[in-house]
Amino acid sequence: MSYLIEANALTKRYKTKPTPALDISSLQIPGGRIVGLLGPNGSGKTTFIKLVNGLLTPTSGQITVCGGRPGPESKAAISYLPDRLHLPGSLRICDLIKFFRDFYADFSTQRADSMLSALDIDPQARLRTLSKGAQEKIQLVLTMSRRAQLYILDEPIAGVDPAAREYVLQTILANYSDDATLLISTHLISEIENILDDVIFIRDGQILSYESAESIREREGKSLDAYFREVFAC
Amino acid sequence: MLKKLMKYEWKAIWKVTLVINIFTALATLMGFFITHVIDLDNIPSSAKLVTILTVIFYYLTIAGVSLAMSLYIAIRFYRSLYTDEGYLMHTLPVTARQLVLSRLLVHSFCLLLTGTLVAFSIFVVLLPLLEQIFDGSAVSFSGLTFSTLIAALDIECRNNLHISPLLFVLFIAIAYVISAFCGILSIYCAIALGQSFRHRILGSVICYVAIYYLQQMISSIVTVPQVLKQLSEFNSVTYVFNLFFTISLLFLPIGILFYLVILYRIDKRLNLA
Repeated sequence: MSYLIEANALTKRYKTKPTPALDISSLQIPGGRIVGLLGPNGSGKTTFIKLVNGLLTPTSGQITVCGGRPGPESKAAISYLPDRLHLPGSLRICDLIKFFRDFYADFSTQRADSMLSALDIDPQARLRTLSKGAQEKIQLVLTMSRRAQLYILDEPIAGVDPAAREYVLQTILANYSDDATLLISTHLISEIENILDDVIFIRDGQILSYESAESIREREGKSLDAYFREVFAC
Repeated sequence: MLKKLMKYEWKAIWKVTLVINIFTALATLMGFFITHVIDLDNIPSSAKLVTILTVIFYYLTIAGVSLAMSLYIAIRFYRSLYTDEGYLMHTLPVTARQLVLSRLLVHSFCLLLTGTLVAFSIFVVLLPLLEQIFDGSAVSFSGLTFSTLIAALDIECRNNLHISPLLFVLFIAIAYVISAFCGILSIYCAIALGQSFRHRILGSVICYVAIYYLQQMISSIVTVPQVLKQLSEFNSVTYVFNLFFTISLLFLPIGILFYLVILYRIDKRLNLA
């Protein structure tokens, strides 16, 4: 069976920390699933996501995405929403749409326009003139306007008010195609647990478990959120 | 993809390039007025301060524009590839080579444009003074104009280098482009190496200073014999030709080395904070 993401003996160390930020012996993520990457702050979620996207270089081991090392081919297949504002604030929203259309063959302008009109945001507005919340929504709109094989959303609902969380989740679900894989990293489990097929629990850079959300609920007799609180209790 | 990257890099940088070059043009106009229009020997005392301030503005602008352009290029490279914007650039379906080349070509164009304007400005402003500078040369420079200067260059090239002046100018232009590429690549290389420091900006500055001094040391070792040789039998055109030839031969492999280091750092050692 071919997997969308495969990691073997993967480690990542930072100079500032004595222990590895990530230490995964083996991990395979298949296609067509909604996978939650769940763990407390500093558990290694973002480090893993950055390694998948080629934004970090592994200290040792290897990671393959869509059958190859992170590179132009895998990047064409991944639609990535980082945990920060990363778009140039000086650009107008319509220019950002052109930018994404120019570089990503799977980008749908029609889909982006329709999401923007629903948000009632002027496409002529410069990004930096919008509120932080609106800028985050623009990033989400651009990410979800692609027909990607793999969507990677790093903390898409962290720092977002409860009303906007609903919009974010609706946007993700409405624009995500069934044959794609969705990897969502978060520590706010209750908000997203109903949409997850599989769950990866991560702590101190190590994978604690990787199984289906349903099997956890059946085995533990509780929600993912309750189980998460039990596993990661301080 | 390279063309698209270049297009967006140009869109990001053209406004600052325009402002810098407008300053150069303004300074040139003022310098031209001072050296061509005003009779410097008979300036009224009331206008002396304005004249001095204009000359100072000209010198500061001409000395500062290339530096300002280089600094902006450094900031632009750092911001687009190593700050939050790097999350966008490094997740585009492009290679590290395309990312670096697109910036190198656009930034070189901007730096060369500014450098050419500065050279043109100095030439235009200082043309009336060249007569005194070249006094005693084999060629008569009395009543110097642009056409007489070209004629003088023609004679000097054919007599001393045995090449046409066009070939001489072409060679100088190639050497100029190589040195601009190498200068920009040394900035990129310093920034790429500086990312391995805990304080990344300070690390980049330290790396740049180290690279700069190393480059200066190597080029001094190579060019000093040329300078000493010219002291005994000075000929301006031969001197310029030999100096540019030596520096180009030296800068080409150094530039290629910088380019390979940058690619390695982006492709194999990228660690976005």
